[in-house]
Amino acid sequence: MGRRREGQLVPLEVDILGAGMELQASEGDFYGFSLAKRIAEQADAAALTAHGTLYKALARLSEAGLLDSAWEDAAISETEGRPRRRLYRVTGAGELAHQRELAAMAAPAAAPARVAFA
Amino acid sequence: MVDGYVEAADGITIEPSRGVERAVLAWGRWYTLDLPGDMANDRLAELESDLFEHRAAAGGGAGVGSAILWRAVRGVPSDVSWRFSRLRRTALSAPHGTFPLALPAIAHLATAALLTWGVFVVARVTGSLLAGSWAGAWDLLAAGVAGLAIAIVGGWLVAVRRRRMLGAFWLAAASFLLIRFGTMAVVATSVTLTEFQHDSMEQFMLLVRAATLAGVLFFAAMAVWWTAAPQATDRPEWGEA
Repeated sequence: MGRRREGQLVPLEVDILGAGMELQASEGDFYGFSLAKRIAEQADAAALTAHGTLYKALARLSEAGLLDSAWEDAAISETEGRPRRRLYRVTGAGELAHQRELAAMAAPAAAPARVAFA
Repeated sequence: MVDGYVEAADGITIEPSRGVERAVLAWGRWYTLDLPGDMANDRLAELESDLFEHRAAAGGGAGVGSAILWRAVRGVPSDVSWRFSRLRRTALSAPHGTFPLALPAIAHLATAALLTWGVFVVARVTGSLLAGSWAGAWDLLAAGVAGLAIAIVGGWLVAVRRRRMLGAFWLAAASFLLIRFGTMAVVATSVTLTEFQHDSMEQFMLLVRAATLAGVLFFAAMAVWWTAAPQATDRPEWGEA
């Protein structure tokens, strides 16, 4: 398998941005497990995305500026009796990258490079 | 949105397969070892949250433990490549003259070498005892066994981020026992080596003392280095209050 080009999104990253935008629209933000669940639902898959695969992809998208993240207020998680969530939001650049990637996928002959972000 | 999670937390679906979460978090602690504290803490906290949410969302359904384990296993290649990419980045951004990758790597190699030597000493002496050819003193055997036991404890401690400084001290003690007395125990199992020791007593003792000193100083230095290195904040184990 060849190395991907700088800025190219892999299918999982496209799925993350897509599912993330959906969750963001309904919940305001999203976190790792909610994202894994939504991606599995969309793909009609029984297994959730592996921890390592998911969080590595989230880190890469955050570093590329396509996602923003912040730790949830500790008071909320304490009240609800669970560990703190790292909350993500798809940035404007992430939305654009997602749109470009979908367009590139729809017209592979016209845009084979699938360059989504710099 | 979160009501289900609270209920699940109170209704306790975690207990039956806590071992799975513990194993996944132990793996997480391993692959974040030697990474900067904040980076390691963020990944572990995110993983801990995911494990909780997964079990809570399953609502105690059968097979959730194996599903969590399978998710972790499938992610191992990504975990490892993420670790190495972070280590590379840490090394590239480290101040000149510091060795954030090389020193821990050497320490882990030295630990493995010490454990291997300890196992060899004990196995060799045990074999000699069983064959009835053991000519050494019993305290050499005792020192070898004690040294191996201490090395095993030290090896386990250095694999845990918040205990690795303590582990290095244990390994320094094990080095003293296994290199100094372990070498003599091995010599006592062999006629050839015993003759060599008698013929070159001064050189032999010098070599053993130098190797012992090197081992002890190395692990003591690693303990000091790890004491000075930024530590990840202590985090409670899964399910601890």
